[in-house]
Amino acid sequence: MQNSSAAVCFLSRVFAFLLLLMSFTVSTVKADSADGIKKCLLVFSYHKGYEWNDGIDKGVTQRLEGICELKKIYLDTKRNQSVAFGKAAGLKAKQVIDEYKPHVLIAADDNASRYVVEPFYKNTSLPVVFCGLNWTASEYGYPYKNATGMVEVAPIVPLLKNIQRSIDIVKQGVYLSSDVITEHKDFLRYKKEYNDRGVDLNPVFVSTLDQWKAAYLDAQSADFIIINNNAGINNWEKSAVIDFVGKHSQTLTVTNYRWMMSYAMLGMTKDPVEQGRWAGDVASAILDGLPVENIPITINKSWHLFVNQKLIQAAGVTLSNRILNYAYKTW
Amino acid sequence: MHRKSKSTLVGILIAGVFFSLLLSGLMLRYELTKVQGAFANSVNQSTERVKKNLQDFVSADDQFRFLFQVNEDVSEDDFLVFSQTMVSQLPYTEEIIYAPKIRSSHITLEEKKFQRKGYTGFRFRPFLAQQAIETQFPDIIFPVKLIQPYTPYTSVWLGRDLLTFRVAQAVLFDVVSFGKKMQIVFSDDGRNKRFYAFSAVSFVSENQQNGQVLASNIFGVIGYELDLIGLLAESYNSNISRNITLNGRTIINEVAGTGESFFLMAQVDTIDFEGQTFNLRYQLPNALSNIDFRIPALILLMFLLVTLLVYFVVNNYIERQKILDNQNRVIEDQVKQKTRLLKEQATQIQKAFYHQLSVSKELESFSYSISHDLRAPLRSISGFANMLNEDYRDQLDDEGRDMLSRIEKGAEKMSILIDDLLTLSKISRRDFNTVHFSMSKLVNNQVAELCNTHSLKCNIIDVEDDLYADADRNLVRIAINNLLTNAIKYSAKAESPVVAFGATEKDGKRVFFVKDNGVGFDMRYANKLFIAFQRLHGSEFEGTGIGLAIVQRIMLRHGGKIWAESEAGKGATFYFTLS
Repeated sequence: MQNSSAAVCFLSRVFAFLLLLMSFTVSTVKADSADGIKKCLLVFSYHKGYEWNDGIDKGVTQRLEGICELKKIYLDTKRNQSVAFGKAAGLKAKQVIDEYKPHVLIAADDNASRYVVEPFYKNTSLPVVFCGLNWTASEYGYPYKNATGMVEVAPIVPLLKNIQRSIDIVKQGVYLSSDVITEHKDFLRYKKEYNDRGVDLNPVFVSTLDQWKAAYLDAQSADFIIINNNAGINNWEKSAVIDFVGKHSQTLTVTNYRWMMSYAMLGMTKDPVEQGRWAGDVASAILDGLPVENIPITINKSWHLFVNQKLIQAAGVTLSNRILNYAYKTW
Repeated sequence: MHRKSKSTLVGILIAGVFFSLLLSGLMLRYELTKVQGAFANSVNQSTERVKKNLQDFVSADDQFRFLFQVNEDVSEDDFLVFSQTMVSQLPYTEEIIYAPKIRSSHITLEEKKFQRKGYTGFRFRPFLAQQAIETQFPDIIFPVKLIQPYTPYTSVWLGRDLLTFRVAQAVLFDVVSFGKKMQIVFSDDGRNKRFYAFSAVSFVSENQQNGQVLASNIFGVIGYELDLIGLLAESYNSNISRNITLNGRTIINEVAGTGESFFLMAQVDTIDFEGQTFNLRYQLPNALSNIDFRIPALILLMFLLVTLLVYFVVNNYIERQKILDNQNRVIEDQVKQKTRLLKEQATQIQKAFYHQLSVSKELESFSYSISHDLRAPLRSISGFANMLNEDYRDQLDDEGRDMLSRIEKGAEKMSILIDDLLTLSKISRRDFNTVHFSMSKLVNNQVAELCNTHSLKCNIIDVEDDLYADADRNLVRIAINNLLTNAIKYSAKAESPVVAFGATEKDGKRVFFVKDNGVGFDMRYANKLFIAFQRLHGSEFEGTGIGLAIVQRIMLRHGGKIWAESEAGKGATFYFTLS
């Protein structure tokens, strides 16, 4: 009787030991898998479906596929432009970030830095990679010791070079755009760079389509017209404008926005995918051990060159062969 | 013979193995020569490729420097296009940078230019702590402005002052102080091996004296990070080890140890490059491992097999020859033994023959002498018996006359016996004369003679016509006479006696026969027929018992033979051949 109880006791101890060993093994495996997978979190300023936003998403996703587990947050501040909404969205994003505990935080476009990075992660231990910041990152207090990224710069000077390659006399141009603050800022940059190169640039900011059409007709006497963003012209009708410019264009029209290529002859546009790729590459390098402070804040390096062949022919404008050869997409 | 065969076989083996080894060795030598040729060719190609790479690199650098010389401010776009072109043409170029010369007083201004472009927080900086060294030019800096390809890893160079770059400071000193066109420096931090090349960009072209430009005219430096293996060109044959040094400093050392071996192949080439010296030592540590042994081995194997084949063929031939020799020897021995036996037998036969001959002669002589000598007393007995019968017959009583008559008959019988004996003895002694004659005619003549002599019924004898023979006619006549006499005698008591003479064929030979339907005889006693004085019948038939012995002797003298077939009471047939 004593022997049998001793045997049961021994077996129960062995069983307990095996259970303990198994539980330890399982927990170790879980811990390893949890530690082994790097996590990245991408905060978008805008919403899914917005072309620029999706371009960045494409670039980041391409570069981080297989490198880290990528979680995405959309602040949706394009459709909800109030500061209060932005701050609320930023706070909500912070909660998600703190819960998710990413190894790298990627902030796409201005509002992600404005509402998330600057208030919550400036000079913290969390590496931050931003992208799509217009013209300068200093507006949001950059540089931080824990942040780097790519600033979004419009190809102002290259665009001027292409204008000069296309027409003989480049002395006076018109800057035609919607009457919003961003466009005013952009104009100042254009004006400085162009004035430095001996070109006079006159601004025309409009709020309605009729104003835009009238300004367009008046600008036909200029050497060239920069057609910048139409965002802010609420009664914009795409087909009507296409028809209008097709009938009344006489001088070279250029733009820095891809979606304005339906109305302009020559376009040099920023590439959101480049922004996303750079952010992905930098995040990957940080995960690989490259200190974030060693990576300088940089600007976008490549642009897409577009030509609206139909509009050029309608207006009778001649572009240089170099542009026609290098433009990889024509309307 | 055995020793000779063995030495032949050993000779074949030795010669075969020697020949196989010789051919295989020659093939091996040829293969080694091929390896040597391939080694030299590969090494020369490798060196030429390195030279070409360096020349191409210098040429591309010239073009690149020209770009900066003719453009005061090379844009990032232009730099991108040119550097991408260069990288595509010189794939071993991993990174290209451009660093303009900036005076200390202009640093802030230049930094603001960068910042205005969008490079937020941009500052000119020395290299990272572990890479940096204090600059030797406090008044100027060469910050990296353009980088291609621009990646997070290469971006760390942006704004770094090249003059603080520890690895390259010495050569950069030469470049910016003396305007040296191209200086290469090798960096090995234990983890990575890299080549850095730096080239000065100046406002004016190089002066004509020393190929250098004035330091004051230099406005920038182009730098390259190069793929070491790509630039030095991998050997075509991965088995070749290389030891490459630049200005005495080892860059690549794939040569394990310095031991020399018999099969070591080595070649040293030197390349002078812009005042610097590349020393390229190639070696093939173990040429044997590069030799294709298949053909030599195949030749060795093939000829060894041929040798073995020849060995076995010759061995087989020798073995068969041995067997034949042994068989011949046995046969010779047997022949010798047989010959000896035959000789012995011949000698014995000869002896026996001569003995028999002498005995026979003696016997014949004796028989003749007896017969001849007995005739005289017999004649006296017979004569006196006749005289007694004629002169004193009346004086004798019946018993006396009967006795006298018996004496006369005995003498007559004895006379006949003596005549037969003489005939028998004469058969062997008389001359033998073969002629072609008609047997049928001879038999008919004998029948006629017998008919006249014995008053026989001649009409009962049937003789086959047109039978011929080549024989001694007189002897044959004696034989026929005896055979016909016997036939007539033993068939005389038959109810219808018939005697026939004819011929038949047996085993391709002509066989004559004399046939009767007389008393015949029992075949059990046939062996006694031809023995002298042996008689199968009693006194009812007269005879001496010598006739058939005479016939047999005649046949034997002709080389023929005689035999008889009979059944008691049913006649007998005597067959004979004459040759």
